[in-house]
Amino acid sequence: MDCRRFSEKLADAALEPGDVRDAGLAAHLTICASCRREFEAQRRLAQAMDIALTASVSVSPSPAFAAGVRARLAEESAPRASWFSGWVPVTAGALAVVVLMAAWFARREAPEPVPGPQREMTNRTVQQPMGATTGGNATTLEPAQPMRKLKSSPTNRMPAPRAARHREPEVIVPPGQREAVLHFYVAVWSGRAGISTLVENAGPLEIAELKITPLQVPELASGSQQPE
Amino acid sequence: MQVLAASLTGSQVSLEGGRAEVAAVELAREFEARLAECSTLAFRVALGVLRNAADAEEVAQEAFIRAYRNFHRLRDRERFRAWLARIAWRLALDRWRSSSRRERREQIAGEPMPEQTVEELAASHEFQGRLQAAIDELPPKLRQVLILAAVEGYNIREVSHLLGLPDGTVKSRLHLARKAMIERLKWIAGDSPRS
Repeated sequence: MDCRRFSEKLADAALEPGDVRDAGLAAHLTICASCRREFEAQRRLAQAMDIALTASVSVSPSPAFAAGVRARLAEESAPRASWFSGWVPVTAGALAVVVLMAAWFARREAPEPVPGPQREMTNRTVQQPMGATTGGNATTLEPAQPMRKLKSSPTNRMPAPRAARHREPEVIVPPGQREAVLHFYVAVWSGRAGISTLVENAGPLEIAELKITPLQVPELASGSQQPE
Repeated sequence: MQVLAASLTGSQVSLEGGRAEVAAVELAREFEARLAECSTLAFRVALGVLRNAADAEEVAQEAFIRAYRNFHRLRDRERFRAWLARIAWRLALDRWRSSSRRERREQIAGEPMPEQTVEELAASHEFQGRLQAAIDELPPKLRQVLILAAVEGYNIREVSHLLGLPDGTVKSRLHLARKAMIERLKWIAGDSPRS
């Protein structure tokens, strides 16, 4: 039978409206009652399917639909605070607190105003009579007496350099020369010695004549044998 | 309209002052026109998947909201229909997948179907249940074409425009979809309807 051969074409033709275009299938349908019934059944099924499908989606939305969409859009359109807008005042406040605290700490750490003369003395502490403390190879010279605090005047109320407040004069000398340096320092400070005195007491500069002895190279013995 | 314009102003961040206002108003006016034109399409696309008018309205509404949010990004406004149909389709599919109605519909499919005329058959609750069960079993591409074709009155050109596909592809997919549907309906229905 040709029925099996036409089954595929029959299914395709059943989906198409109107007459069967394929001449072979059309001829077969005229002579095969079984295939004709199958064809008609499938075509009606296709028609019912199309009718049902079209009907299922031919419904219109309710009148409230468009209004609902517009209401939703209006909700969308309502101005909403952006996620960061709430953080702006908080961040600004926190930043202000941090800045104030930083300023307070900076003021607390800064040196108090030092009067002019005292600042001068501070800078000149190395020239005052001092006791000496030693630590390792370093000799630290400190003021022997506490400095006299002078009354400050508005004109000399200048802030002293921060580093000068804690600076102590230090001289690093080799261990063997420590006592000599101390004596020299005290002598210079007490006036017993000075640059002018040292220059005056010093004798005329004499440079000894440099004598260079020529290098003596002994001659090699002629009879000695070279090692092999 | 004013509300829409106010919202769309936020989207036009590149514009400033009066220009932004004008652009936002124009955009809002355009969207309003699209809304009136395409609301039925979005609803029907969703209905084709969900087969429930209330669900379809919700999905269509959500589709419009999403379209509204991104309307300023749509360069080719002539593609709005297709764009909206795709959004509605995806949203409807998501809801359909998460819905338990699908299982209930599939349970209908096993019941015997009485002999009826074509029109009676098409209108019968049983047939529609079986039809939807058969649609649900279709591959997504075929199902999409079949439903959009029904929405658009089997206008191949409209469907191809909506999907951005060549006419031939849509025609071929539609044929395959209908053929697969007939096979399933035959299997489910057993007896064919009398004329």
